[in-house]
Amino acid sequence: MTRELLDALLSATEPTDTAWARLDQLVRRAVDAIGRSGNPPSADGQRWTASNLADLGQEFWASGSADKVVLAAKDDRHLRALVNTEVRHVAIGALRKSGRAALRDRLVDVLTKGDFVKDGAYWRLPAQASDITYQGSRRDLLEAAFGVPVDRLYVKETSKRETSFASREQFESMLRAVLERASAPVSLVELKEVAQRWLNLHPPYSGVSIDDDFASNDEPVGVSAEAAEYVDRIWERIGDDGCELLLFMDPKKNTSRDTAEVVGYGHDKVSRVIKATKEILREELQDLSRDEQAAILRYLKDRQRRRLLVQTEQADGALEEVESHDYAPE
Amino acid sequence: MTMHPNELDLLDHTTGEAFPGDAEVAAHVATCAQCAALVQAFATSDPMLDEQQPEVVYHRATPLTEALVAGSPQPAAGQLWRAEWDGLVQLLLVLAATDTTTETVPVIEAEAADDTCVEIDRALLGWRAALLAAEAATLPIRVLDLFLGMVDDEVVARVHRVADGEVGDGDPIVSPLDERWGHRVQIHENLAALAEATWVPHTAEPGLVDLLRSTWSRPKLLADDLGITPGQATAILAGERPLNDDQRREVGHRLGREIGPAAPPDDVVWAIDHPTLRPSWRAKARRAGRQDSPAFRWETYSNSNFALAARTTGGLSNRERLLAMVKQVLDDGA
Repeated sequence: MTRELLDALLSATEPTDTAWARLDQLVRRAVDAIGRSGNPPSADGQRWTASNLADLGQEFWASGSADKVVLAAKDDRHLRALVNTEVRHVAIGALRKSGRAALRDRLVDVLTKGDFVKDGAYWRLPAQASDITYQGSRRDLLEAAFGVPVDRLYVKETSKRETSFASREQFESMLRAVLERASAPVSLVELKEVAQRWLNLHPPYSGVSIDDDFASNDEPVGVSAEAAEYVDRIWERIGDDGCELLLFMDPKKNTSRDTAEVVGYGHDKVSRVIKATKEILREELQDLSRDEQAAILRYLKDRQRRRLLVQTEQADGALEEVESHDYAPE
Repeated sequence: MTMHPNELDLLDHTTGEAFPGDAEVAAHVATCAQCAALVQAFATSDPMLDEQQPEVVYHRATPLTEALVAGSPQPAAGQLWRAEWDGLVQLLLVLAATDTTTETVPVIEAEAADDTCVEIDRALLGWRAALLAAEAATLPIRVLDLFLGMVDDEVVARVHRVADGEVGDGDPIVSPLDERWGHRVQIHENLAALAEATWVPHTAEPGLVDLLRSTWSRPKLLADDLGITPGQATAILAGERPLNDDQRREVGHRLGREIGPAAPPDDVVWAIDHPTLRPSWRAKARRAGRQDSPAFRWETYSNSNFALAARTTGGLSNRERLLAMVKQVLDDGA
């Protein structure tokens, strides 16, 4: 356990102290590792470049992360690990803000429920052969996608978030057009790139479904069969209100005030529902392992997220109908 | 569960850099296909950052810089500290302090805060932090490592109010599955471990010095029986010098029972643990090629003749005398 660098950093009192340059060397290495591995991906959806990697390093320093890791480290080895983790947090934070993960979730949802066939990491139309994957250019796919108009792109302003949705029919039409043009299975990654361009998601898309590591599972993963039986009962006991709040349990995304505004409840109701939900979850899950508890909550969130998407699309459809009546040309 | 090396270590391993733990990483990569694949990816890619490295100028938050320069004060309410003990690190706010203990609440990242937290001014530490009012803990002052600054009296008052039920600055934790819940459990465990922090072995006998004094009424008698100098015997009977293993065996033989090492007197412990001596402990450990650990402190105490050093610090109160004595021992050879 050496702590030579850590001690130098703890006693660095001048802005130009050489200890900072030594810490920066670690930061640059951690940043370079992200660039080389491509994991996590760049927030703008493009390949990492020297320029946006340099920005990532700058963000580390600008966010006060340097002192955060120095004060938390117990020795030089721990410091390296903390630097690596913090740099990745900064990169993942930017990715989450971009909403690219949300788009992927929605894409998977539309593909899964639509008339599409999954072959590993690739998707195709039912009539297409599955043996040779698409090797053509993205430009061709984009042309096909842009042939499907996005009639209405709803942007809902709330306190801190924007949400934009194309209807499910529009999404499916776009994917069908793209796959027809490809005449072969196309990877989900490629479809996501095309969908993002198609939706012209600028400023960055930001929805409620922004967990990067989320899988749309029909059944909870990592949960015993016995524990899985709890899920439906919990779902019923929590009720609609509790389910609505399930998505707002992440401190990195919301404050209680945001929650009240976004779900359209008064603050008192939010507090009351949160309290009741907390009691139910505690009661139902107290005998399960922590891993099983986490898996069930992930599943419940995913279930609510999918329900929310459907509800939003239905609401958008209804709104469109009303607006077409009100503002239809004479 | 296999712990994979982090990406930074794997990249340095790929490019042949030396770093702490490099041998362990090499051994892991040799047996882990997943990490070997990442190493291969690193090996077949070029550095993506410009080689030209601008000079790093980092402006640490001014209050933090000033606190680090000022050194460690006597612990008091409103102070932010970095606590460190035996490989455990935790940032804290002191709510109240005695000579030997502090009432504290932990400092956490604001992102992990819930409705029992009070967010503090970002300007203090340079990053968004919060005080977890619901996790107050009484900790020995020996865990205090670095003074980090002060918060306003109002912040301390608000922490008390939030601890009493006022709604804090974060979102409530509505589920035991909330990510912050696990964080809270970890903080709780850290504080519990810090509360137990000590360098005195559990086998130490608190009443041994009194027992020695009642058996050997004069230092000369003890000196004769143990074959040591009267000065050494005086220090032992004053509780300022512990018995070594041979002496313990001899004393045990004469008392007819096995005895553990003598627990140091409270004032000696107080002096050894004083936060102002942290830098001296760390420096002494570094000179010895060691870490400032509980074992190092016990060894240092066991092998030091505090009584001898005390002769040069006459005219001070017992605690001040002991503090100066310990500092002298620690700085010896610096």
